[in-house]
Amino acid sequence: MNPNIPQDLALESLEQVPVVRATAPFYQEKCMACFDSRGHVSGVMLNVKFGESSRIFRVLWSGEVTEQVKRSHADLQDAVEFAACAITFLLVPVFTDMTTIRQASKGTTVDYYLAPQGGDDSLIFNDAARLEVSGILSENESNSVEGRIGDKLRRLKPDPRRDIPTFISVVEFSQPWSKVVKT
Amino acid sequence: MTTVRELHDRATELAQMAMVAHYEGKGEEAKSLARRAFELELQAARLIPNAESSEPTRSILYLSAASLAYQCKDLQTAQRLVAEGLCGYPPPKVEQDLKDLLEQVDFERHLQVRGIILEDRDLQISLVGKAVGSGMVIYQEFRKVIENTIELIHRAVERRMGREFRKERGRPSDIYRPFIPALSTGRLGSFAVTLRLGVEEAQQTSFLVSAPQVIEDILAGIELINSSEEEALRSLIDDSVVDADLYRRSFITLTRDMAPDGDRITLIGFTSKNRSVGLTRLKGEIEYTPEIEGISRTVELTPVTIAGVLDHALSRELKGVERKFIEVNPEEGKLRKIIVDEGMIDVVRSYFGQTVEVKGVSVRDDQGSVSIHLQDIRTID
Repeated sequence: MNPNIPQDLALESLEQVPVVRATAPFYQEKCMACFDSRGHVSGVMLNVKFGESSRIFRVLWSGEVTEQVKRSHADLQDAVEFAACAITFLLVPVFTDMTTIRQASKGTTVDYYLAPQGGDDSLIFNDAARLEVSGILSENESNSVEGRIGDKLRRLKPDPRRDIPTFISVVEFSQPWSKVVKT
Repeated sequence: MTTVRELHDRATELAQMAMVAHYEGKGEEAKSLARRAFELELQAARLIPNAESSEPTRSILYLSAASLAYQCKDLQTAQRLVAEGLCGYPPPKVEQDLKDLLEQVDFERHLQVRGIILEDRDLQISLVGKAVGSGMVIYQEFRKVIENTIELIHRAVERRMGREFRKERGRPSDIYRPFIPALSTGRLGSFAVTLRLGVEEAQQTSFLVSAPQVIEDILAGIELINSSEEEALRSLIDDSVVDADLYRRSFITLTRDMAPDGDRITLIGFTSKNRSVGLTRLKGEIEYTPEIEGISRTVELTPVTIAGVLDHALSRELKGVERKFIEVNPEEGKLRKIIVDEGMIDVVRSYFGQTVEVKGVSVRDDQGSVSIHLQDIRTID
């Protein structure tokens, strides 16, 4: 696949992501509200650096961002986190053979687990990876994609014992781009 | 529904729906969905044998079930399931997640009200840390928290009544005190007492100062300071309030004065009938800069620390401005006069007669005069 030819990323296909099958419209709406707030419409280009790979995606959705939706997302601080999750859930199966299968609530924060598509029906997490996601509406010097990735990498201290890998994803919505790294 | 995957997938769907319901403010629906998700996730976890080869699936499922129990406020079950998860062979990251969750559960348990029903005029105050034993607490730590909370209550009442910020103790007849604070006996676990805002039978209270309003006011302010959002106190004490800046400064200094030191006290929990706030931010993390007014141009600011007995307070005019001073009498050397800005008046009162360590800034103005301004004060053991 030519990495310079944009690939479609349809928000409607969130319904096929196991973890959000029942709540896909909720995530889609947050995603649309974030893109709309930065002046973007369906078809906006998203640059993605996933590990060593780089690709361009065209993010597509149907429907309008109504005034009511805009009003209900006047404060986008929460919405941007859900929106970043939505984009990441769609990117993971493109770059890996995994998909997001569960949310890992830790009291007040939520991370996710990835697992191979198909696989064992019992030991469902035995080849799993963790996924940590965050979103930025408009990056600046003090709040950037690279900065957040760096912070998270510093926090995840390496452990000599066998540990499960972690994917860190940060999505920016102003000049849309995303970076995903694996530890 | 028999396989782990089927049970887990359905639990995940319900957990997601619970999260959305919570986000949309549908608390009861969220709790009920989380409860159903929890039951399925626990069934899935129970199907996995406790063996090294079961990991990380087993510990992740226990983490997930414990987390859902926590969302349902079933803290005892959450605690037990974390323990079960840790009893297996969790990989380091999952082990850390389990321990983090346990910390949160413990925190919530300290805020929970056990064995009593709070009324809307009640505020439960709980203390956690080395200064707290089973049903016992070091008196000095306890006294500071109770006295500062009561002072916050008095200040909230006066502010809501539109009174000017009181700078002197004043005659009893000048002070509006609608509430008679009463304390329950201490309860076990963390040390917890109920502070009840009673009203004298014949006393008429203003509609501006009902006990639930005052309690909510204090919890909201403490929550903001705990989240390092001192600036947002402006939404609670807005500029339309008489002496708003002084009331805000007083709120910050009283809260800072009783905040945990991270050792003897690690958490102060405030629980009303409707909600809980935990003050975990350390005293040293809450910054307060004294207001240095009446000095046209400062040329030098130097931090100073003085230890001694705090034995006097007085007011006098300095460069045309009425100032409050405290006097600290060190073991060696001469009496030191320290300027107290009005936002710290409430804090200083409780230290009179005690041996204290005072931190301040020494200011040399453009005419060469030196004055010391109080920043922080603490008792020396």
